[in-house]
Amino acid sequence: MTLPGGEISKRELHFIWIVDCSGSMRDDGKIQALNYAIKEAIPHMQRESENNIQANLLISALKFSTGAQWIIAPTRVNDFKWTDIEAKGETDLGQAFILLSEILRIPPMTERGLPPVLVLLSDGQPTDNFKDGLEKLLSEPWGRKAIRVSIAIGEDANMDILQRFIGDNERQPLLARNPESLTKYIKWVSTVVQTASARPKSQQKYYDGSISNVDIPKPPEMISGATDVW
Amino acid sequence: MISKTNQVNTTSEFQAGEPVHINGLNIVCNVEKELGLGTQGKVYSLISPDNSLLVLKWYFPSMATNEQYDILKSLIQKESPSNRFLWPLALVKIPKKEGFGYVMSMKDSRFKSFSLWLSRKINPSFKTLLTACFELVQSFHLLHSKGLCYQDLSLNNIYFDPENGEIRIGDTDNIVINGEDKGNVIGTPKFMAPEIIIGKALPNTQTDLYSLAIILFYILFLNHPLEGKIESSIKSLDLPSMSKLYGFEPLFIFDPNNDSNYPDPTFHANALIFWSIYPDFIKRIFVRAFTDGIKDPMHGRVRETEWQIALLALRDSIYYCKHCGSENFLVTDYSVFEKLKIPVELGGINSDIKVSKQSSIVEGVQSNSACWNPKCKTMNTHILNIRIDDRLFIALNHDTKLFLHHIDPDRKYDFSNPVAEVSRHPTEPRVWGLRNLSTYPWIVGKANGDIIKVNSKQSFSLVPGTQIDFGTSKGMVCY
Ligand SMILES: [Zn+2]
Repeated sequence: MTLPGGEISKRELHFIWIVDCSGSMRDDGKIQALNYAIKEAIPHMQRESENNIQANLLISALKFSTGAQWIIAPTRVNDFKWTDIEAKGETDLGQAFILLSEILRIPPMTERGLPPVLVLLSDGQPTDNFKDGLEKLLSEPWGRKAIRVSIAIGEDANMDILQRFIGDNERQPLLARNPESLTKYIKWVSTVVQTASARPKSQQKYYDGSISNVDIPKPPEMISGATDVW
Repeated sequence: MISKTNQVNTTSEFQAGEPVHINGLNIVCNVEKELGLGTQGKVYSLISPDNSLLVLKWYFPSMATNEQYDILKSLIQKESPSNRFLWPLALVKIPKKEGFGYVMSMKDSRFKSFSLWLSRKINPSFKTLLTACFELVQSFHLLHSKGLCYQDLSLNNIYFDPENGEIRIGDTDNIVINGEDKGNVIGTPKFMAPEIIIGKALPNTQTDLYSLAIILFYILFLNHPLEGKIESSIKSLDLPSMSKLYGFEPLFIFDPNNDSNYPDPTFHANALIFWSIYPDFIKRIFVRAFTDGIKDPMHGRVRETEWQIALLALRDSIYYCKHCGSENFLVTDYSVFEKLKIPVELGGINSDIKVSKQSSIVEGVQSNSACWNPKCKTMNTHILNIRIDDRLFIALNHDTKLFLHHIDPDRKYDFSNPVAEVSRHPTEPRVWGLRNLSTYPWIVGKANGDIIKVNSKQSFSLVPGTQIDFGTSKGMVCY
């Protein structure tokens, strides 16, 4: 006999990949490494969300090169499939922010959600006016409340801009110097960060006292001594 | 890839196949695979010489503190309070690897996360859930009575067997001596006591009791006890709003004196449905846990021994609906329970703890003895039960067993061997009896006044009015 009631009511959690597909991502197999890393992370992401009693995880993806486009609409984590993307064109990051700001409001966001997770992956310099775009994004309450994480692919990425996207000086962009660390960082964001706002994790005693929207666990500790560069 | 990459430095990580010398156990294992990545470190499964299931937890360098090392050392010296705890077995240090780790037993695959129940991916029975709740309370009672404190109790580190309710408790590496303020963690949001969230306390035995009550409520009501209308009015549940909801202004959804956080039928239907099904005595104890238990952390919290009595009384009251077979809870108007000497503080009948009114959407489901199953609603009357010494009563179902716990006041919580079971007459299938599984004879007084002796392996017919002298207590069959 089945007991009464139903599944515990969950909040919607949007997890959004924002991916740089500019021409420079073609160099050194960066785009292939990125495609590989995200596909590699999917099963871990699905496993993590199975234990999640707080959130219905919805994943979407947005790419920017010359202009910006949604490539994957919000999809349940168990149905999520990554289609390989190709690299060509400019680096219109500002366009990507504007596109994002258009969905980070109610509607289309739900009345009962968790702070969304925005993951920005980039290897270079924006070619458009990213400032106006970022301002527009942060003027949306959900944009401000979002957990914003950025990953620099290789040393050429503009760390300053990736830091401004995060907006919180306590956290730095993650610098992926090689495909291994890119895979690790992507796995970390898609499991640990995925749930930062949804599946509560143990909190450390020596909390720095800073008030943020969500308590984000520390990134994986990695030795940055690897000498190779992309 | 054009540039050939060097091996990523893995001095705090393990690759499959790497040998792990466990000096404390005098064995060498090999890493099988990475099982998970947590906030404190990584967990790997090991291949051991005798095929025992072992896992290795290796701390991130920043978490591998001297304090953590000392905590583990002292836990390994102490014995595990019971086999329910996945206790640290041995410390591991490896030359050229940063930090340290420890080895513990791996839980069997039959143990599942409670999140599978909350997501309704598994279908345990009430009996199983109540057994699991009882085991949790009993295990933490054992831990606390040794002067230890768990510190980070949440649904993330407990597991149960959906077939029988047996539990396992993981993440035992934060267990410390109560009051020593050691360890890295302060708890898990939603499970932390309000006094920790507002910064007035660090984890201790009393805050463990609060987390335990949250877990019990989650398991039995599929809802957080503080998530009602106030929660559903929050559009984006971020950290500041969580601190308010769970820390600065906590309000029980069924607070009898304040309904401003009453469950919202759209989002908290589970709370309303289950609240309408459970008997009042269990609701009263939850009301106490989340009213007095919030106001007065030192003296207002429900003790484990109180939970034990209440949870077992609830499990003993389960009967199967005669029409649809659903598990219902026996509470009748002339309830023997009302006459039982349930202490007032436990929410006994003389208690003045009120239970808030039923919601209108589920009204009528509860009441007396109608089956809760919306497709059934059969009135179940004349449920056979046995009353023991005015101490407790047990609904007698086709599969009911009695244990020393029931019949011997000196052997409370002893469920090791059944002493009686409901049986069926070999030739008259409509006649039910109670079989003596103990080694002592029972003296049974039949309703007509006759006195008979029921030896080991014999049964007597379950006729209302029959009285049984078990030696250590007296029972009466009721209808
Ligand atoms: Zn029924």
